[in-house]
Amino acid sequence: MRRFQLESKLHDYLANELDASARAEVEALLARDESARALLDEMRAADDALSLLRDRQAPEAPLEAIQRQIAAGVFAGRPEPELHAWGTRFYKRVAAAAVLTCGVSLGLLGHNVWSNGSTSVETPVSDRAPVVHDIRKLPEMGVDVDGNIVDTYEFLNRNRNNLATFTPTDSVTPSLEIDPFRRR
Amino acid sequence: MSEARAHQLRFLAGTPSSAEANERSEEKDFLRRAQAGDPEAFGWVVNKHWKRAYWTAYDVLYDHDRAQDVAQEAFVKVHRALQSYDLARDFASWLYRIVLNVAIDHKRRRDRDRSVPTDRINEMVDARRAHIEDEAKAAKIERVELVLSQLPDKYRIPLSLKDIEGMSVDEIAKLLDVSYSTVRWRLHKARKLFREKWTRIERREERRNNS
Repeated sequence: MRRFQLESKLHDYLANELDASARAEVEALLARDESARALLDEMRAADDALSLLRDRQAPEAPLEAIQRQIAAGVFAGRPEPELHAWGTRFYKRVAAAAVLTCGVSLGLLGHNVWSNGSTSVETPVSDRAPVVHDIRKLPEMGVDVDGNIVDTYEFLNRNRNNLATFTPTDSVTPSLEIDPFRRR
Repeated sequence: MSEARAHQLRFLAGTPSSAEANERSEEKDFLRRAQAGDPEAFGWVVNKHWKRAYWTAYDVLYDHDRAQDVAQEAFVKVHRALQSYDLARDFASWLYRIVLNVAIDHKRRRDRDRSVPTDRINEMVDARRAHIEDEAKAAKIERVELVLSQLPDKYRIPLSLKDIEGMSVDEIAKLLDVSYSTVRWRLHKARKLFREKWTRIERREERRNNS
């Protein structure tokens, strides 16, 4: 089991979010693997530490002050705050740049193949490096066929042998078996 | 099927549980009354969401005074926009998005540095310490706050919302306008970062106590 999967499983185990069979699987692992037990202890300690903040109290809601501000029309002149969750716009720009770069790269690659008269079968694997370069523009994670959240890079590392034998009909995206990057 | 997976599927299908549906229905009644100009109904809405709004702002700013100002400003803005608010939309997501955005605006205005000012942390710790009789517990809380403050915003905010405020992953996804999977990933990273730093700090503390 990869580190990422192990941590996810152990967290779900701690949070009591596993079904009976998955729980039994984790318990069997804990029984035989000392490092997994140590990791679980660290996770439990961190969770306990965070739980200290769960009972934090907020001051009373200042209802009168809010009503006064409403009546006085405070903030009325200001525009509504835009919905700018962290980095959303930045990532949209990066994504747009990535799509553009991919398009140009693929265009140049296609032009190169056609102008050389070579076929995809004859192209050495090492010459297909731009595909790996494109993969780096994928989102940081996805969901595999079992519904597990997977780290893209970790997944690709794990399947490095498949990438080395990459052919145009066996692209990386199908090997992720996705609809992986569920964007709303 | 794991609860997390069930949650994910429910999120993707957009179907709330029955308890959530009842709560939303009650909230809608108050919102409808607040839209009609009933100040008591709006007060109910403020009271219901104040604590989480306050701590959401605080988790961005690490400043109690500003957190109070931000939460207050957010509710005033909500009231102003209430007439045009569509009751079919999820109110909590809308409100906390406004809180978060106002907090981010305040933070940007305050400084562009991601780190939390040390004097603010000390101020906050002192304020919290005053309410905690157990000195050892207070010191531990201080260390938790310090470790949390060292995490980048994109990891600290979802971690605080989930593991401290108790929001669900799908609520956080809507609030931050990212996918369910992204939140899961950031939570994973955040917990890992927090755990590593926390383990290091606790070991150092243990060594110091033993020597």
